[in-house]
Amino acid sequence: MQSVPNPLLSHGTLLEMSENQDRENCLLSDDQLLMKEVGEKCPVAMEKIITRWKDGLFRFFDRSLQNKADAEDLTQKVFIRVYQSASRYQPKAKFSTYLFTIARNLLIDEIKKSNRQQISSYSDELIQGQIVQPTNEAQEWNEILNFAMKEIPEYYSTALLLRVQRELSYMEIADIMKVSESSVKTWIHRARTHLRKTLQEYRK
Amino acid sequence: MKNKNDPEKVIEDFLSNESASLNEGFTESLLVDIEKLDLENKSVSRGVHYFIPFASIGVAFCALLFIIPLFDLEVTVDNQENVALEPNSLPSYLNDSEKIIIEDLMAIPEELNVPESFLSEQTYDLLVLLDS
Repeated sequence: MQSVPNPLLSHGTLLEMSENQDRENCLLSDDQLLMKEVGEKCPVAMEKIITRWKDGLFRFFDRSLQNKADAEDLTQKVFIRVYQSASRYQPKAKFSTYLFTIARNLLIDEIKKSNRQQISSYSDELIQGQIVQPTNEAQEWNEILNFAMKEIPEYYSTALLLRVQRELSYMEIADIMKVSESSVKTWIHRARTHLRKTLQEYRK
Repeated sequence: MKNKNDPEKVIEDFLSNESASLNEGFTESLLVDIEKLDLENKSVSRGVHYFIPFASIGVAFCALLFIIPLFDLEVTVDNQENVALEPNSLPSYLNDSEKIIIEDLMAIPEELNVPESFLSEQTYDLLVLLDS
């Protein structure tokens, strides 16, 4: 909806108001400005946001769920939610914090909904023939790490992925996950240790 | 420089998942979905807007149906109260028998207030009784 200028306001007041608006906009990031436009139902702004963030979100979901179709579904859901809530969006924190808070909530919902089973071990699955024998070493490591990721709780992997993929600070991750910074540090450390240990065990 | 077989490098590469990407048409199909969603929301809100005048008329009608019987009830109660109070206001100089007759007269329904109803024989008899 476009705002109609009040005819009673003097030219000076209008100029001052527009300067204030400009100053406010200068403080906002590119994404936050785009979100303002999305709130006014601008499809071009929405397209820019999607193009900018889709791969980052997809990689995050792909590593968290280890399922490309589900990852694509969730990426789509995040953008739909962003679009629906754009008119209520308040640029209080970084846009990435806002986006990944939505992403994490959807991820938790998905995990609860699908009631994902924790798989016993990579070698068990291999013996049972549930996974294809990897053709090269790199592929094998990837499979091993995928299994190692399934063995850790969601909050460990989320914290680790946000740190590695998005290069977010501990503070930002804590904001997204609504926990203390020290918890985030602990989770990331434990997650890394688990992945390292699992990899070493299979490489022996 | 880290060796590509270095476990740390393997883990970093695995986590960063750089090779993963969405298919080409993702953005376009998502924008189409969003547009559809927008249209659906608009039609729903338009439907709600059309419904508002009908709903308010309906509510007003129901309210009237509820209020009118209450009003009638109040009027009836008022009339009964008046009938009950009037005998008490009879003057003290009247005899008991006269009071009873007047009370009987007052107990006769509303039609007695209409002059025509005094033409009945029963009324004349009562008036004669009062005079005697």
